[in-house]
Amino acid sequence: MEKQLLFGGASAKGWSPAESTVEVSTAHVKVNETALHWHVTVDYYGGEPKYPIGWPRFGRMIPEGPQRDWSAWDYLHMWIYMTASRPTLPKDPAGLGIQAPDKGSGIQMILTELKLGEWVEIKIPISKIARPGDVRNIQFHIAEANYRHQDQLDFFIDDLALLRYAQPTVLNFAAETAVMFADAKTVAVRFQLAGVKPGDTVPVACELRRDGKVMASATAQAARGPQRIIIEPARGGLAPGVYELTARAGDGQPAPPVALRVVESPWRK
Amino acid sequence: MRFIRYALRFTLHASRCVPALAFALTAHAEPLLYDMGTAKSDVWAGFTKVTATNVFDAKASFGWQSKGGLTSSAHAYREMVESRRGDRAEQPPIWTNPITEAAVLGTNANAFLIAAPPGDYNIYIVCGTSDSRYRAQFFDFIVQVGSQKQRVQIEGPYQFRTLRFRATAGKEPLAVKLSPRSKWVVNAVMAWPDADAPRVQKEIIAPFEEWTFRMSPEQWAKWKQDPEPPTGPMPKLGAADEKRGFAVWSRHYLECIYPHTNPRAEDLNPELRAFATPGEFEPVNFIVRPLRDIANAKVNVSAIGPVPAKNIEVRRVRYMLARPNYTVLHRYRVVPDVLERFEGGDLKADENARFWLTIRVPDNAPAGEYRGKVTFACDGGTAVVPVKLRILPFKLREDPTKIFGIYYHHPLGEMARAKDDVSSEYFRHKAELEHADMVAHGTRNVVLSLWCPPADKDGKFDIKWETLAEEMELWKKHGFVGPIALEFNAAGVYEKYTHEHFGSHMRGVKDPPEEFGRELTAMVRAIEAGRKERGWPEFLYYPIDEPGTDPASVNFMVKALKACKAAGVRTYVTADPTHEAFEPLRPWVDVWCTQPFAPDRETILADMKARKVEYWCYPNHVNGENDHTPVTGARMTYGFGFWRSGFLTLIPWIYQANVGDPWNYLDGSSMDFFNRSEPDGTPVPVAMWEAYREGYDDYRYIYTLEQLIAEAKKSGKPAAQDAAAKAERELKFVWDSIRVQTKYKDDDLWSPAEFDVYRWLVARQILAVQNALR
Repeated sequence: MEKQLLFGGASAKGWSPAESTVEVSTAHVKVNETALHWHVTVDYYGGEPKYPIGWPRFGRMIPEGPQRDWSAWDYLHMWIYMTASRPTLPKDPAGLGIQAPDKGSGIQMILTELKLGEWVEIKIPISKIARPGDVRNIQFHIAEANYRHQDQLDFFIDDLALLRYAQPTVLNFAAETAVMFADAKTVAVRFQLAGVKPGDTVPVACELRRDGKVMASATAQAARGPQRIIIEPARGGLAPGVYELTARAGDGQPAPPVALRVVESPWRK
Repeated sequence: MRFIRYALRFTLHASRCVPALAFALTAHAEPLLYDMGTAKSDVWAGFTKVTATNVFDAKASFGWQSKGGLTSSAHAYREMVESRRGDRAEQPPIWTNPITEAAVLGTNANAFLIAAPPGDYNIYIVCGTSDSRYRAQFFDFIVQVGSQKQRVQIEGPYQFRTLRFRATAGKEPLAVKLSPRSKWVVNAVMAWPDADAPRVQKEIIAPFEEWTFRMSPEQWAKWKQDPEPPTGPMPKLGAADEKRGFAVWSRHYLECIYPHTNPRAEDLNPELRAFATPGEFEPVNFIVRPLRDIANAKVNVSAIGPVPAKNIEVRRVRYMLARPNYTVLHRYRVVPDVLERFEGGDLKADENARFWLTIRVPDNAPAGEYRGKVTFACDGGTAVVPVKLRILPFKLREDPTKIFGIYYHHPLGEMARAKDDVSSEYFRHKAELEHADMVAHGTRNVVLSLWCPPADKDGKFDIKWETLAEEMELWKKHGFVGPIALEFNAAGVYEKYTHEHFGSHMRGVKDPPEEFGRELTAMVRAIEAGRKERGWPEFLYYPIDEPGTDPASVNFMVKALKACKAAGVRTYVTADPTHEAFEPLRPWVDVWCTQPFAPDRETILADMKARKVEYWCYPNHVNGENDHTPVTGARMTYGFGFWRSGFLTLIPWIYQANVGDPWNYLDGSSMDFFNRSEPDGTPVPVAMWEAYREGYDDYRYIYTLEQLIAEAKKSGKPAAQDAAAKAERELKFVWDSIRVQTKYKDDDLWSPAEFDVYRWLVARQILAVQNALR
């Protein structure tokens, strides 16, 4: 994997916190020497007058230039360590929003993975961002309504970075339909191709096998990003049963195979 | 000479014309333009003001035939308005213009007369009102010009109809005759000779219609269109397609097809296939991609075996400008949405036209595999799409432990407020049609409300039973099933003792005094006594919708629910039970109604068993909280997802909600939701509503199999028991294939085609177990 660090602990002063604080910290670090430390004291009565039970947050603009272009990367990555004055976390402990270039075409996600007292790796596929070439703002938040008044929350964020595969790699490989009728004329597979430079293509070979025997195959030149390849079985369709689908991009590792179940069609004539 | 005099006259009348409008006509010809309203309402530039007092006589060049029964009304919406919460500015219901902001209305037959120079005229009439006082009014009237008649039907305010006529003026004045069944309403009358037609269309009608049916130019400039989802390249089309000027293709109906979605090669020249049971509805669809403008398009369907052609409804998917989410402002997408009745018309070049066919299999249809066809014809040529239908030899069973319900703005509420018989009858008829539509979609429960003022000085309650009684009659007639979540006036009791309202989600609610709880208990007891006396199904007492999580709100809810329960009834709360802030409510809630399928199945089953509580779900993420495109998510929520969840009831918000013009999703404080109505109140479905039915059917396939498995196990027949064991394994395969989510909406769903394969896996086992049981 190739990595580009976006913001380390030393960037703390460049973030804009609201109803909370952000500072550089060495108390909990995972990869680098410092991490961002975001502290929130949940306050049901302070903050914005119209929304006293509000949304403490911290975020920053991404400076104009190459840092805004995430389109050649596969993941936004970070490690988060969380501590709290309470014994358990609510089901929506914190959220992350990315504006690209605005809220409308950005993403909002709940970081449900967070755990108390443990480092948790967050990997967000860049493919979820509709316009990854113009990322302008990143913001973390909590909803105070999810916590109790005076809860103390501490988040340590390390290694906030962009990642990408160095070699062509087939991700999220799946049959478009994991079950299908035997008289279907085509088998479609979908995947995300990573590790390919923008503008380049690589051959991706897909095979449909049964009991180790290749029943049909297809190869296509594919670029990075979402892909769909059609495999055409022999005339007459496929016999009912369980098949295996495989895919490999260039000389890379094959994607984990997936199963395809073929079912007798309801229409006999 | 006479013509010039009239022109001068209208210039003098147009005393308060809007100066900034760029649409005023240039002055070389003089169409006759009249803008109806009040003495103070604005006038569209170049129009003559007409009020209820302008009576035609020998001196006047225009006016009403008589003034009997005439009134005028005006309500302009030109600015943002304060939200009900008072915390933000929001759009008004509609953006009025000088024509739509005011109208003249009549209860008697009348005519608007214009002393026009002799000749042939085009007449254009605008009808509607912006006045919210007419919410319970159904305008139903005939407009007649010469021998031509057109009927106008409009429910309430904020909707406008435009009519066109041809007329010839001679010695008599031009007459626009208005014959009310209930009441008529007119905003404007325009008449112009043919020579002026292009100019009137361009300079008046086009800008007027854009403003009226979309919004003002000033507001429209603020809206930005989101792009359509990416699509692949257009495949190579056949010579026949090129020659006739269109291609025919199909994709699964759960997949949204946007105006410019391109077909894939495998989608072209489709065969439509479906399987269904007797009594079931099943959708199929095809899409026409016009390569150039198409005129006189028609769709004809043949019978399919025992399914007569009249049982196959043909609708066209209408694209709407929709907000991505119901409160989003100034962003929209063009989305496939409403399924409009299609009886022929023209199609625009390069814009997909999807035709949605709903096949209703007769209850007594014999099993078998049948063929039929759909013929699409237009001036360019014809395409025949073959249809295959397999009818299965069993009927789907209903699970009596589950309820498919929906929130509902009951038309009988408006009926109670209607001031004339025609309006009353309209709302009654609308409610009838909507109940029948709900039943046809598997929905047999709605949330109801009862108006009961706080107790009088003697502690008595004057409960207004009349409307609820009518609603219950309809409930019974259509075989709806209880219990009924009943909204009642807990807020009124709160106001009585605190002298203030609480805000939305009970923001700022005070700790109510003891008397509040005592009176609420008494009110619930009084309602219960009336319910029992009438033999109605159980009520679930629903004092407040979506309480907030703050401590004051939770404290209030505890007191309100406790007071309800003191009357010996069950309570209903729309709140997320996984939210720890609601923990204090737990002992006082009998039915949790929550938006996601959360908590998980195991937790709710254990809780329902241990404490006799119930878990219901209001999946608004597949109703009004989006742009009506999560069609696949809707089917998953209603069928396989519901089965997997363990929840007892689905009851989303809402069957129909209108804010402003019901056909304009961009006006108003939020988007309009879900099903639409034809002018006479006939329901017009949206695609998601059809997906509800398909999910409901998925559930019924599963339930039918589960019942047959149970019967086979008890049968003592080895073959039946073997078949049951095999069916259980297959059902487990389907169960394990579900990618469990709390909200099935857009992501990580089965592909559309998989739904039918999984349904077929279940159907096949039904056939096998049924055969083994014989």
